[in-house]
Amino acid sequence: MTRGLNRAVATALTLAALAAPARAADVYRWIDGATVVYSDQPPPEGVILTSMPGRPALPVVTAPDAPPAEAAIPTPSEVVVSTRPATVDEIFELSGMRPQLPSIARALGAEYLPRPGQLGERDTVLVAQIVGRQFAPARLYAVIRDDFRRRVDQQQLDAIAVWFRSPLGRRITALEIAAANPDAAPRIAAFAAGLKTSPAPAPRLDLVQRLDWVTGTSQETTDLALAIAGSVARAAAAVTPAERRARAGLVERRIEEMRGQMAVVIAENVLAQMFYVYAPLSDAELRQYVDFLASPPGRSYGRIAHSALLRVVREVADRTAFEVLRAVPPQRWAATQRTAGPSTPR
Amino acid sequence: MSARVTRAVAIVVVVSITALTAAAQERRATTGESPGALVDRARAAYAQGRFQEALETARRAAEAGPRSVPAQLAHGGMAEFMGEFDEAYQAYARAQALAPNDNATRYRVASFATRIGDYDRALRELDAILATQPKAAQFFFRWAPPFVQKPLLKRSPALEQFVDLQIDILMEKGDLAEARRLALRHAIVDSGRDYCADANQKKTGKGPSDEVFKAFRLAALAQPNAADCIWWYGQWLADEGYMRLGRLMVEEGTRLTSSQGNRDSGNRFVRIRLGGARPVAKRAESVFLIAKQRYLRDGDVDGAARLFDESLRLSPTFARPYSYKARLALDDGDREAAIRWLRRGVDADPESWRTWHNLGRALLAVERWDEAEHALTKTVDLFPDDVGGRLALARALYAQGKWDGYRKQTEYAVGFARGYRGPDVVKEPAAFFDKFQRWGPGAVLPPTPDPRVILGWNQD
Repeated sequence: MTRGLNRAVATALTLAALAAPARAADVYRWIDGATVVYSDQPPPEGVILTSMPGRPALPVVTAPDAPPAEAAIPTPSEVVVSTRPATVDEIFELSGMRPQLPSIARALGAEYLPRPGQLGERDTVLVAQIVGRQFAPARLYAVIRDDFRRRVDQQQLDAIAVWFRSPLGRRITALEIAAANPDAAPRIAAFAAGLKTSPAPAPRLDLVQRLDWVTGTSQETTDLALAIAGSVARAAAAVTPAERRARAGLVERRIEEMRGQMAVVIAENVLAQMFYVYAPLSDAELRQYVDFLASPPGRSYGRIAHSALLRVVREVADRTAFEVLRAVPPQRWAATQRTAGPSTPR
Repeated sequence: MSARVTRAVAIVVVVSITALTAAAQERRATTGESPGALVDRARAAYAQGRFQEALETARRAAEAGPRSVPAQLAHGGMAEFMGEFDEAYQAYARAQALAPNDNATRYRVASFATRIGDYDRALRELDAILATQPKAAQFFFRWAPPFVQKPLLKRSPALEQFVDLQIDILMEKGDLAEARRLALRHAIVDSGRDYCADANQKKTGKGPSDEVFKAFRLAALAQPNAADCIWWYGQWLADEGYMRLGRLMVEEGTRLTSSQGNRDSGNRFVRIRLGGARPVAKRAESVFLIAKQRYLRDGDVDGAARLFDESLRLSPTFARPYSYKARLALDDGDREAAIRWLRRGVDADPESWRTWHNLGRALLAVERWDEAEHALTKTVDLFPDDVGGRLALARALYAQGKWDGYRKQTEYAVGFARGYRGPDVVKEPAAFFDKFQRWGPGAVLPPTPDPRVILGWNQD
């Protein structure tokens, strides 16, 4: 549930925050040698490739608080709780992982797409085809499901299913799926803005912070963002001539150095989104959810799902970046951008 | 009179050492594929960092000019630089056969002999160079007091290089007393000056490693009783990959120290970091150092892999090349092959702390928690202050739900790192631990940075 939602929404919003001027200060991104650089300053003259993969920015919403989505949330009377042996597919359906995977794939894959006008039409299509093939949700799902299946036994699955089949579990999944809908993005942004002027009460803040801890959502989103950034940096290093290539190991070190600075932005976004998504829940309901996630079955589900997702995204990200830069070398991205005039912060 | 002699020695040695450059003028033609032109092209490629191309061009120069000493020397020099020692040996032999009395050739041969551990040959070549000088110059060079030698060496970098090579040979041979005597006699160091202070300052700064190396070297030569300083020099050398000289220095620092605790610590360092009872052959060390450069600096994976293999052939119990072979496998995305290389490393040297450390982290990456726990327990048994090792072990324990073990390892690592390097060095593991203490276990695993905490316990 939270796993699915947080991945889809947090990843989308957070990656957007890194790629677009979603905050007060503009964030610029470019590739320096084999390193992806994030900065609030524009890149120096003569940078090889500026703002490699971009994606459409989320709309910046300045309106105050917006109500969270309530639509399509089943009431307890609509739910029949099953006692049959659980399957991985059922767990992924009930938890929201499968329904939300297309959003996750779209958000991650969009990081490799050129900005409008950054590449010629042929190259743009070529890149989109590569990304579409690599980030095909069905393909990702099959890998995650098989990986998950190898790591859990029936007893664990049944224990996990108890929560996800419960009325509250289903209600929370529905909230998460509703918030993962792209239409919800402006409302989430507005809600987050409202939090700055009207902070949440301390007990709620504590619950939400604990929710982030037991799900590991902030860290997971950081890992995913770094997997994407790292894939681009590694691929760029691989296609750089040997005499200009960064020292072996340097790329990985730089990527790790980025972790701290990204984690702060990501954690803020994740907490804001959680406040929005679970706003319809009482503290007691939210505490029940947190307690499940902190329990052995909840932790198993969270950890195994996290590592399965991360593994597949790392593999796909590396393959995508290599394939993209082989098909459209960095010089073509840079050359196109130079002819397009001054770069726009992403 | 003495000024004339000084000038004579300086000129002879300068001519000897820079003969390579001057002799390039021996080329048969200024255009086309003449040996001279090829030597120039090889040098240009070298200067621009295109080392493989430089070697290939030098090979062609040697083929085009089989009787050209500069071409043979260029070939030898490039082959030596790239770690192709058999090839270098043959090229230098050809050069020496062509010009048996040429001092430039002798100097290059001496330098190469030092690199492959043939110290007696190196000293013989240097003696032969000196023997070609006028008697007065020889006398002056051997016996003039330091205050006269100093301006001489200052005026002639080539002469200083000559003396430095002599000193390096003596140090590598383990004759530290003679190396110090020579350094004082030729005013390479001044008695009474505190070189250790300078070295310590450079060690903690972010200056180039060459500068740190030079500063420590002078301290070791000038201050024979500065146990700590000599010791740190040894530990710094260990990080850089100089197993033999590093060992010599740590052993010397250990011998000098009055504290039993320090003596134990020094002996442990030699045992778990520098091969202990499995000393490394000089040639194997040199090949390893060049392989590292070819991999890290040039990105020449194939060349580096071949040289790491060569280093292991020469010293099969030398643990460090196994770690680099593992890194190469990881670069290929083959984690299992990396683990196999590291297992071979710990089989070859079961007391190599760093190889256990790397093996444990490689096992963590593939989530083989119990095996990782075993390797990392071994790691921290060997070196209890290994912060990165303890944090990695903490992760392996956390993944298996061994909360008390996680707590114990993390508390130790965070406490030690904070005490040694301040709070920021393990910020993330500490923040994670605070949350664990507050809310219990979470879904994600604790972070495992591998911070550089103590000089001498890093790299590889």
